[in-house]
Amino acid sequence: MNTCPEFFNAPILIVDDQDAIVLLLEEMLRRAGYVCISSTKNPHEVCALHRLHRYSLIILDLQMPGMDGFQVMEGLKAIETSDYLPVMVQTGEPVQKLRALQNGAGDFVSKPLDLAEIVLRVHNLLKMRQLHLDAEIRTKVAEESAQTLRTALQKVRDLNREIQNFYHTLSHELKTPLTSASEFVSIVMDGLAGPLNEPQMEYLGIAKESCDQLRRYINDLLDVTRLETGKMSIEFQMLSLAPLVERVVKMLSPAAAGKGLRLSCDCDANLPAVLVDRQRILQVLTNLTVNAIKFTAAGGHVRLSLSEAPFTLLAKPCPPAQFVETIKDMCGVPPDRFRIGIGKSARMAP
Amino acid sequence: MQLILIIEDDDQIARALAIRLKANGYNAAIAPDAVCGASLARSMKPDLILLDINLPAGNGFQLAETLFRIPETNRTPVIFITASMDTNLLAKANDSGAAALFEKPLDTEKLLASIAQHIRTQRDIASV
Repeated sequence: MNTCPEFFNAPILIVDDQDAIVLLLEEMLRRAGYVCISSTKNPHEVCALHRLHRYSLIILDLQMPGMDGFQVMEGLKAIETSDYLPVMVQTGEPVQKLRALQNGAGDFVSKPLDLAEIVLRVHNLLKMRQLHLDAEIRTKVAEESAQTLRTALQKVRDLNREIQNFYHTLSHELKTPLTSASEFVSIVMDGLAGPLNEPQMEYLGIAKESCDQLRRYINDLLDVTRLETGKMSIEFQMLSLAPLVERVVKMLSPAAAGKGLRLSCDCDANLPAVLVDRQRILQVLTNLTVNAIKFTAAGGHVRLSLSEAPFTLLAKPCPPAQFVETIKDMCGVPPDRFRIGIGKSARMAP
Repeated sequence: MQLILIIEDDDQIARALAIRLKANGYNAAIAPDAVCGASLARSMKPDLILLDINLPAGNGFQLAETLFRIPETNRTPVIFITASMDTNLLAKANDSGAAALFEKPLDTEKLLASIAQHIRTQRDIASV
């Protein structure tokens, strides 16, 4: 049998009113290698002993004068915190075996005693007890780990909320001085503080443009916070995309020209209207086009094209199936009816 | 000349607004907090109030509620200005009975157009 030495240190209690049986069992278990064996003939003290020593196994005679084995088992149940009772009963009556098992005994042996059988059953019960304890420990460890994870998750959530609040406050604090800077620059540019010469006008124009850029960055920061807190609101309306694409091209043409790029658009004017959030789609188109301008070398050509195409041509990063379904569900346009493509001469971008 | 009351705790923004309004033919008065704003609104009876939402001594919404209850100001158009715009705020501003809500940094042209329009509307209502 594959057992470690500690296994034989398991405390065992023999409860029997007959000296001969107690001696027999003790001797037999000692020979089998068990070293921590005690016994009692008084059933009344079993519970007190178990409370004190926490036996791994109690070999219990069912028929004893004064208090029978079933009463002892009831007492033991009150001590054991788990529903497992480390008890092996010994009885000569088959009916009692069943009753003992139903009352929570781990196993039984029949009288007259078969010594080889007892040794095997004792071993098995102790093994089972050990597995039972292991399982309890594992469950406890798993529960503790789960609790640790829950606590950590809560901490992350709290931290996330704090960070979002921080960004919100930060952007508010940034906007206030920016508003005053931007206002005063405009006031001077509008001549409210006296006439300006050409270089003064030009330099203030640069300052004003920087203010506008800063405002856009702060709004981006706020958008990220809104996306993370789920507070980003989308207002859908039926729109034709072509004017939006043309507007973006018009708006970014000076930036493209400044980099020595050609920026053009190619829109099919007969496309159906689609359900979009005007501000957000403008933001997406602007971001994509700004990126295209940024990553195209001087002399290149950035081209925005809007045409009907199967949706399978969409770039992977946006989930086409969901997108298609959304569009289809909300405006009735068949999912393969249109595609927004932003390309440039060097390579096709999404 | 129409009078516009600016209730704004950032004195530089308030000053810039006042300069801009004067340049566009308005008189402008400034109140740096809600208490002062309520008292000036009552005594000066402005034609329109520009009201910052984040204010010391009570926020802009509470002040607007008070202003709409006082007989001297219950018909005065109120335009909110705020640095922390979100959709909740927009809905709240609508519910409060404000004429408009502008986000900082301000789009001055749109703000001036809105001021002119609301003063005109209020005058038309009063003449009827």
